[in-house]
Amino acid sequence: MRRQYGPIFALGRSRTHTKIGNMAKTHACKRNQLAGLGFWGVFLLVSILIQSAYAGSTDTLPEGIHSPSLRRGRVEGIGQRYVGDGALWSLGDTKAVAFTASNLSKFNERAQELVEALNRFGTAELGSKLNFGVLTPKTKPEIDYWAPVFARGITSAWTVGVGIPVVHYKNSIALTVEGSNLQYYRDQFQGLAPELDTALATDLAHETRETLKQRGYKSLDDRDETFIGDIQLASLYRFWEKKQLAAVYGITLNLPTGPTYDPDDLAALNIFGRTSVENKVTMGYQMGSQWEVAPFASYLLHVPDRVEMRVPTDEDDVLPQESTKEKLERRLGGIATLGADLFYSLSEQWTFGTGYAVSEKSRDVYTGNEAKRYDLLGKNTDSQAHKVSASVSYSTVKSYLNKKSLLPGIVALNFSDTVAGRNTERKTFQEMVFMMFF
Amino acid sequence: MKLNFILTSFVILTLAACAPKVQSPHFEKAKDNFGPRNSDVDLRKKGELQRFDFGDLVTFSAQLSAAPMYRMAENLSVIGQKTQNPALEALGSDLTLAIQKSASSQVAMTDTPYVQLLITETRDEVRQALGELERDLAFSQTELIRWAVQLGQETKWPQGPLQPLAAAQVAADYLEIYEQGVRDLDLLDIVKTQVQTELIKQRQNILAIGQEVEKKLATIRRFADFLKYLEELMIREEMEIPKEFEKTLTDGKGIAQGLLQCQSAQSALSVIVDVWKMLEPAQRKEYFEPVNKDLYELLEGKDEKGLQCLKDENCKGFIRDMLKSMFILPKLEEYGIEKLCGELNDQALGYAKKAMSEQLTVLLPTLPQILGESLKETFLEQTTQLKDIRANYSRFIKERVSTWSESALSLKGQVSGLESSQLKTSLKGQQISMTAVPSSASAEGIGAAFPAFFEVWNHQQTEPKVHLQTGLEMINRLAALGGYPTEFGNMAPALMSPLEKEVPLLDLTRVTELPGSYAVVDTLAVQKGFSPVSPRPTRYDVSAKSQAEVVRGLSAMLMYLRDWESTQFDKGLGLVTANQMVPEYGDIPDLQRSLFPKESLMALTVGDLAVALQNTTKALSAFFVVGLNHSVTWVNDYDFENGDAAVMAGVVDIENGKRKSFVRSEDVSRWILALSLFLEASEGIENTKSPLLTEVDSQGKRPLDTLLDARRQIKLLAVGLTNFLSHQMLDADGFVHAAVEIPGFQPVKEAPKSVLDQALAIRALVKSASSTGVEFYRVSATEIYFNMNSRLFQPRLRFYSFGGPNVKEKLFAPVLVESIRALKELEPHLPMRSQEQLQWLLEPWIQGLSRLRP
Repeated sequence: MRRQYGPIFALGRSRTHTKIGNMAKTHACKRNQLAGLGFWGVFLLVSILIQSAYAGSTDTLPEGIHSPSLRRGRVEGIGQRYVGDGALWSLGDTKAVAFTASNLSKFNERAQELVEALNRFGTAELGSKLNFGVLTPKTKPEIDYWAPVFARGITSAWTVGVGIPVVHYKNSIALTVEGSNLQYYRDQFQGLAPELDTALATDLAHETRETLKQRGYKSLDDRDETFIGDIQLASLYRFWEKKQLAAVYGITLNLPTGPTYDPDDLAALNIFGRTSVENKVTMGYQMGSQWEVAPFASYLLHVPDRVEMRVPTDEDDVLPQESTKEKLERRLGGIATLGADLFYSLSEQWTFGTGYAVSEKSRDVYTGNEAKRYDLLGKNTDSQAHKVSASVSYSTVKSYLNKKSLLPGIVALNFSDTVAGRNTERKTFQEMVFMMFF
Repeated sequence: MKLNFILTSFVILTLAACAPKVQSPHFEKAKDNFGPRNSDVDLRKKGELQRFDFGDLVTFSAQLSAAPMYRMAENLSVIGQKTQNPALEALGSDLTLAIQKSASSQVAMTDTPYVQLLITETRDEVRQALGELERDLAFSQTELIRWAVQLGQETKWPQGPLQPLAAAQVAADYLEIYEQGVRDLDLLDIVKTQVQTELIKQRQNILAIGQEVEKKLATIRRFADFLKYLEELMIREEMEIPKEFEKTLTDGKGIAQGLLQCQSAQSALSVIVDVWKMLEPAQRKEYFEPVNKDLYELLEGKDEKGLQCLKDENCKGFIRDMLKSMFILPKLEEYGIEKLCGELNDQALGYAKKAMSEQLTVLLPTLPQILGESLKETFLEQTTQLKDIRANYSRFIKERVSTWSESALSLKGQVSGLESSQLKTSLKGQQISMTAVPSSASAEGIGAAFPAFFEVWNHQQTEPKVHLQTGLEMINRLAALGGYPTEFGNMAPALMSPLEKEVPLLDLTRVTELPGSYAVVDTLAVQKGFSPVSPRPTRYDVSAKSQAEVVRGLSAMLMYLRDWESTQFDKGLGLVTANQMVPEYGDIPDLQRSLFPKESLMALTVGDLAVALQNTTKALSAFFVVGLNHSVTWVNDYDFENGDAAVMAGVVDIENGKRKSFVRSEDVSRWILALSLFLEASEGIENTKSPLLTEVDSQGKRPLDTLLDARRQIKLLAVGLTNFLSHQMLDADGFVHAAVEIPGFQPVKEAPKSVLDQALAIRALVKSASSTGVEFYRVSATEIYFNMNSRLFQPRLRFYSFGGPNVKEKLFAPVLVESIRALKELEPHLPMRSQEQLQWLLEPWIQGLSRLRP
């Protein structure tokens, strides 16, 4: 019985939500140096997959058994990002730009004149020491979701399911400027010439917002929105079983039912509206009565699609103009994952689990019909993530069978974190799962 | 189990803890405090100081023009103020006055520009006003006489004889009603007031006389005393004796004389005959017949000859003698001579009193006529005066100005003109000696005088008369700079000459559309104290320094004449009103206005300044700007709208109409000081009340708007010059060059660096920091100062020199004073320890200077 209901138990160990199939966002991050809110592509939150529910072991639903479940999850830590060298930075800091005398000319062609002019005041090189400060997008993204999932055991070895995520996305967004010495210059030069006053009165945050507006981007306002994410269909088939050892093959189809990519919204998640297929093979090895180890390997393949995007003209084109919009062919990079889970059954009701997985995503590729720098869209989209997970679940299935409980069900609490990586956000999941059987 | 659980938990937590700490990007810290890059040194450790002897270390032997002398005096005053040293402040003030006295020519007060301006600017207005006043007076006269006649007709005059007091009361009542009626007449207030005042006075006088006469008559017993009193009264009150009474009075006097000698029958008879002769036939009958019919008949039968014979004791004739000696005289003696004479006296006195009463009754109805005549006389006198003023206005003003200047300014018809002498100076002990050496006037001297006198006016010990006198002299200078109309209708040529041949002489009324450059050339001969001998010089030099001093001087005057706030002017010339010159018209409201209208004088100053400053952009501009690529463009060629960015500017001399090819740091510094003072003085000028600046012209523009716009440009020019000084002219050793060539900005080898240049640069940088708001310039000034302490301080001199430690030179007094002022102006911006050291350094110098006497 335990074996039979093992998958149900395993449903609680949803460390598979660490799936990072959507690192594909980062093309937007880099190009938005000014706004820099590129946490989209945070993760593929839909950890509700039937596949993932069983990924910790090789259990499937008994034939004819239905299993409705509800997942309530919260994603934090997406405000932090592992940068190219593996260091963990605040996401805002990764997009922070210091506007100093040395790089001002990149943003304004007359800036060098300003620097040169200020250098003529005395001999202290005032112009060269001009610093407009560091523009940092301060964001506090929070995602939580409700996901009703329904699964059914077609046979004792084959289970299918469907999950519909309802996503609530909240983000407080602010552009801050710190470390400027403009006030000193204002005190010195205020009122000398209108042009100089204007230059020294520059409010980077305001200017950024104005630039966004001029270039057709949506305003960087706080977000608080709820929408249906991408629906997922999953199939789990135990193709091999031998005493303490079993193997399952899972396949998950992600349907593009969520919001499509919005090239005008820098604060959008832009991780939905994709079609992908993930194939996953999991081995389960029962070690004694209490321990089980489940190594797994998966590969997520994105189906190429066409999206409208803005194409930067060069590496310094941090906010491409509206005129650069083009319908592109998008080939998001595939994600290969290798990992293992370890479960410990403390009693018939209580089970603890832990796991580790490493994912490698290849670079996104964008193709258009013009001679543009499509390559820049894929820059820094190849990534790697190392994740650990932990779970605890309480099951009444066994006690129900022993007529000690009224209903068979599982309540599970899952937690996972990205502990290392490259070009990927840190994602900290907390998820509560309520699962019923009938 | 427990162990397993713990292990599992450990693994989870350990792995979770593996997430690295969030890092922050490293950004270079923005610098927001730009202090000096060098630091001060301890001067006490630079070497052993010698015993301080001011006289051994300082020299003042030179022949100088007025300009450096005035600057030295000004600097002494400022140092005195900053160190709260009254002696030094007084020295500066006294020295300024002494310089002016020695170096200036004298000119007749009535020929000065301001008197000429006063005449021409007020003549038409005054003439018109006087014409209107004449018409008003004529109308007033007509109205007053009409009312006097009307009231006379309406008055019920007494018919019977009147006692003097009663008669006086009637007259007073008439005048009172008349005075009340005057209030309702449509007359000039001033006329009404004067007439009312006079009427009240006359009324009181009449009543007083009436009372006096009444009282006196009550005590008079002798006819002769009556007549004597009457005569004295008429003389005292300046009454005119009516012609018809002249004979009566003469006869009366004869009777009175006879009565005094009435001691015999013959003398009594003489009196009787005199009385008889004086009376009309009816009166003879009335008075003589009832008393003595025989006498009446006797006298009635006598002709003039007979009557005269009766009077004459020596008149011979048998019958006459017999009649007189046998009948008349004995009868008189029988009657009693004394009694007869007494009665005759009483009769005469009674007659006279009665006659007076009757005469008063007759006289009273003529009061309106008398009043009218009096009014006519008064108005005629005033109108005549007004006509005379209109016809000879220049003379009138000159006379009044002379009178006023003698009483108010203690001037004896002469005032100081421009400085046309140089001064040979020397210092003997503590005495500054100056000897005048005739020379020419200079632009630099003309300009430098203003700030020096500005300090004199600020000095609390300056006598009011000196303030007024010197203020007037500087205003003369102000008027002379821009030219002025003379009383003869022509223009006196301005001190600011046209620099181009085809350009007309300066007309300040067209200051917004000047066709060319105008400047006070470096040296110029003057006549009548203020007029250039050559209004259009064929060869001229216009040095940067001179022009800077002119602008600085005018800016000081602008500071003095700011009409939107109280200044020292308001305690001096501002208190002088026009009616002080014409006290007889003191009550006329129009004359209570200022004789030196502040807002007009300020506008005049602004006009002069506008001319001087407009040169910066004219064809012969001495200014250039330096582009970011180090290119040099003369300002008149610079495209202000689309030209390359330029944040540095310099200035050169113009010699014989051509620009020199080098820039002196002293010139740049002095221009910075001049422009800074202009910016300071014109701060808030948008609040001016001057109609000349605020009234909209034909093109719908206010001169004030042009000025405000120019002020912004001037500020930029000051910034450009200060940048040039603090960036381009600064050598690698931290000192400013004496001069650099343009283009290329290489130092001029023949011009070695000097302490004066460093001091002026410090002053200019400190001043520019406050006037432009770029406080960083003070940092540059501090760096130069620290550098001076580090490398120029010579213990032997206890001061600064480029000559090294073994320098033998003495400090030249004007340079020393200029340097001290610069350092005192920097002092508040130094760190505390540097301030203390600077005070230690300067203390003996300041003490030494404060003991000097001009």
